[in-house]
Amino acid sequence: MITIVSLIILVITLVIGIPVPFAFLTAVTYLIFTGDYDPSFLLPYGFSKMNTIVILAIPLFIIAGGLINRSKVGDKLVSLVELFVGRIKGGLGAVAIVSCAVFGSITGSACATLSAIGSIMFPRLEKAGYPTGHSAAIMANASVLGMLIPPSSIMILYAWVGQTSVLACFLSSFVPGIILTILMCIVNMVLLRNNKDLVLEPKMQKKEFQTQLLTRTGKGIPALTMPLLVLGGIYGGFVTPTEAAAISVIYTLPIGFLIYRGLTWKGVAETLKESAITTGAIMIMLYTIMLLSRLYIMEDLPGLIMNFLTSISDNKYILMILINIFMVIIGMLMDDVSAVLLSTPILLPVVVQLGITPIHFAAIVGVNLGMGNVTPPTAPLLYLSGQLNGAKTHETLTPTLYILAFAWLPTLVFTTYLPVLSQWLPSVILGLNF
Amino acid sequence: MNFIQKIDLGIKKLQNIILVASCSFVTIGIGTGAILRYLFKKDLYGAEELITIAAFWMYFIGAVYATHSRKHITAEIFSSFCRNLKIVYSVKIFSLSVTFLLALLYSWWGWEFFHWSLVKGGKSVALLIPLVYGHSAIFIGFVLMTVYFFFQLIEEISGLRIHLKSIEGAEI
Repeated sequence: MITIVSLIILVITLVIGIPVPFAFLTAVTYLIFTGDYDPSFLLPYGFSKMNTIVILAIPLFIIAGGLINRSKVGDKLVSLVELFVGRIKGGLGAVAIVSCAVFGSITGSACATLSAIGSIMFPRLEKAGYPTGHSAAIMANASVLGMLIPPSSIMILYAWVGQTSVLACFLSSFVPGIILTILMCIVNMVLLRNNKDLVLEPKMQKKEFQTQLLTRTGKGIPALTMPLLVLGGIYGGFVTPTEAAAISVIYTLPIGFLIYRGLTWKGVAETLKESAITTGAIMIMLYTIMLLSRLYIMEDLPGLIMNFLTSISDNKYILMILINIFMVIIGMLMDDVSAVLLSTPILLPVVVQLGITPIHFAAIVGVNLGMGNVTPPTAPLLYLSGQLNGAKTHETLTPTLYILAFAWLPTLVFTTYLPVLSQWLPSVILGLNF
Repeated sequence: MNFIQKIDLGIKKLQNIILVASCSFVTIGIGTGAILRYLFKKDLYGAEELITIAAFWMYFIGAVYATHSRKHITAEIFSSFCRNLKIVYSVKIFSLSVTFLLALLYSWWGWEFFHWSLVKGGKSVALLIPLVYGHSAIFIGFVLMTVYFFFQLIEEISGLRIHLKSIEGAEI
């Protein structure tokens, strides 16, 4: 009973605006005092869980993302992608989506992706005749793609909380991320098929295309090398994810200073400070969820949820629908980091009992929470996107609903019911048996 | 500038220095360790112990900075649905009061943890660094967050007072 009351307290404290780590601590404190636990174990337990080098991959990727963002690399990536799909009807929308996917995988931040690529793409989309609501909707939805395409901070967090392989989790969400990218591009083009106001890029001669390809690839390569360096280093067995993150920070310095010339020492110091603040906000949540999940396990919350779910149905597929709905709602209410920290320790033991592997569930979590983050009414990325290009919220809703129905939902269904999509790459590259 | 403002500014400057220094130390420490190990086959013995201490200071001073710049992550949706400013302010004051009291409670537990660590706490395995250096970040972090939440609570209460006065003025 006290577990259920603590869950209700958690929901209320979140809704009324208590900062997420302190909402977790409210539930912890309630459980400590009503469950007759000794509070002296709490802070040392949190310290022992966080006293590890593995988790430092998160701040380091945040720093690397911040530095690459300040290096003004966005327009180089956009112009490279534009070369391939810019002349198809709706192609510029596809450029925005693919650029967000690439940039998101480098920076690992949906907000940074939206701000960086949005500032470049919104004026171009407007000039090409794209409806503002449509532009805001596709950019908001695409900015989340970095959550699925490795290296992803969300997957590091999931792997750490779920005590599973970071490498396998990175790979698990890659195929769903690609499927989602393709489906978003298709939905974008279908929605614009009858739009007569669109202005297409002039067709290039073969020779001019080749020259542009060489020039734009040359400018984009240093930035595109970063994810390859990180992933190649990790999967080649040369470095751990934390070391790869540190190397990516070191790598961004010369390319930011010497190649893209967007970095200054003042900018580096500001990025370090901003990254440390973001890290602090995330890590205090991690610290407090460690305490809460420990108490929930002592109170057997996963067992309670399992009993509740099996009282509704014994069918694994129906139970997965319920879990997916629960996670989308969590994703609607909370940001991606808080949502993954809350849902992983509670739901992972439950789904493992249903025969879902932790690696498969990593991809399900990624798609669900990404979908929740852009699902109205609480869709902060959608509102931010609308703010950036001046679209009114109601104008963004129709295209967003189409993208949710025909891109996110099919990807979620495929990811949930076709484990091969998330388990194939980890089994091929890491040799894991499922 | 009064005495409290000077202290506040001094603490913020110190926080800035700790944040930039700890971030740089962690990055350089891990990056150098990786490069030494894979290129020169050498190991930075015990470096991880120093790095995790710097990391704890980065985490908790970062959290303190997030508190005073109001950058903590929230899932607040109440004010989006409630149009009555008086209720919105009251709920905000209630949530800040709860947050402040929790921060105060965890500061106390942080003090107990710090004191225990100071008296009985052990040392790290390789470099024999007292563990209290890392533990103290938790205590100091919670204490500073408590102070900032207290000031935010006072700000919100005065905000509600001003709002109530403006309503009274409009009614007259």
